[in-house]
Amino acid sequence: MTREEETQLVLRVQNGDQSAFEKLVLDNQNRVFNLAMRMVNNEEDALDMSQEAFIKAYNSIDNFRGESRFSVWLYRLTTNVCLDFLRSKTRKAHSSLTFTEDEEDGKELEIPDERFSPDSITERNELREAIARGLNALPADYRAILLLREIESLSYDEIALVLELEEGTVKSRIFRARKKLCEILIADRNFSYTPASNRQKEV
Amino acid sequence: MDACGKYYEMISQLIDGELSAQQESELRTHMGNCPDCAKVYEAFSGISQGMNLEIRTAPAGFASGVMSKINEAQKSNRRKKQSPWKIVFPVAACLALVFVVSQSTGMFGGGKSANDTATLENRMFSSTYDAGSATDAAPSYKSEFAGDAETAYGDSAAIEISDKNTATELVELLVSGQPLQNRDIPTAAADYTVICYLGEDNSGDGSGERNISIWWQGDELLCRLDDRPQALYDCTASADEILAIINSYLD
Repeated sequence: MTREEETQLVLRVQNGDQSAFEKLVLDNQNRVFNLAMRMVNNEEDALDMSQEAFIKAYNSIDNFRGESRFSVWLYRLTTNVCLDFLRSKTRKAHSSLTFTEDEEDGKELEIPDERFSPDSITERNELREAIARGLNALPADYRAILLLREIESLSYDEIALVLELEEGTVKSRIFRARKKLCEILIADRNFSYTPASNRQKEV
Repeated sequence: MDACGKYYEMISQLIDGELSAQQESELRTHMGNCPDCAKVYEAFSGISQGMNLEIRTAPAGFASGVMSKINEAQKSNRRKKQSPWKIVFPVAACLALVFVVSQSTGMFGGGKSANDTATLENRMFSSTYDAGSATDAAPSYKSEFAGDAETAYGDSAAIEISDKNTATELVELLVSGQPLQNRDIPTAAADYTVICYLGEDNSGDGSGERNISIWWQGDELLCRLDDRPQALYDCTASADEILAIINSYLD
């Protein structure tokens, strides 16, 4: 769908044409579901989140003024719905979902080793699986920003719109998220296999 | 290594293609001489590539499921309270609500009786609209306000609510209900107008303000955003609740 077609559909919805909204849903449902799925890691919850995001979009369609693509606005709604959901789930567990970024400033970046440059397909798959585990272990705000950047391929300024952050904050939060993910991967016991260390054992 | 601190962040930006040509060249030169940074670059790109995870797609029937939910919500009783969705204002915006107060026809004048309710009813809606219960007494308010969208400024005193929390709460309540479809825009003058001044330009026409026209109708409020004539909303809060907020702010 071109931006022009999208604009026309949005106008029609704003003027009361409900059926036009269905076309917008169809065009964006995979993006929204994919993001929700990676955020909450559970299909049933992800479907609920996705549906809620679209319903919120419909109810607040007059707030969409077309400064960005409709999908960017949807990403914002989806991210917020997922973050709220995750926050309410973990409130009892007392874990901090919004990372206090100050905590991270002092820590030095752990220099990673060769595991991150997989040579074989097996190693590549292992890395991919470890990353999927690592993503789930990240604080939700870091997970959201990495998903938007790496999976939805949004630019820094689009991410700034989605997360309502300054671009400088986007830049540094992505860096911190990657740094944190590295630490998680290094500590991941299931990911400690490397061909090099195996060879050493044989000696 | 502290010296490499700024390079680590640049490496992250390089992966995202967000460095200028000059910055990129400076970074690559540095990485040629710094094994630690080279390792960080490999790790960050490894992560980036490793994140080409399977793209999940929505199941068949998802879209029609969404549309049925929307239809259900439209048909269900509009008087039922729904949770307000948030209107997104810029974080830095200072939201001031200006209530235009004039003399009045005021439904919100102190000590009004049901008689005034009747008068109000006559002023309202075109006959296509179901006016609903007319027996509720008009809520009372410290000052009076009235006026229609055109003469909202009139010669009235304005009450500015600059407390962002109160202002935000009010706006969210006023424009929080279901959008009303397929109904006539009320032809009668609005009973009152709320003018929202936003700290930054956040209205489509560049004026930095949004007008909300409000019609009181029995126990419910209908609100219209003036910058979108078709946008008529059912306010989920009752007139009493709105006034309670205003009155407590004025205390």
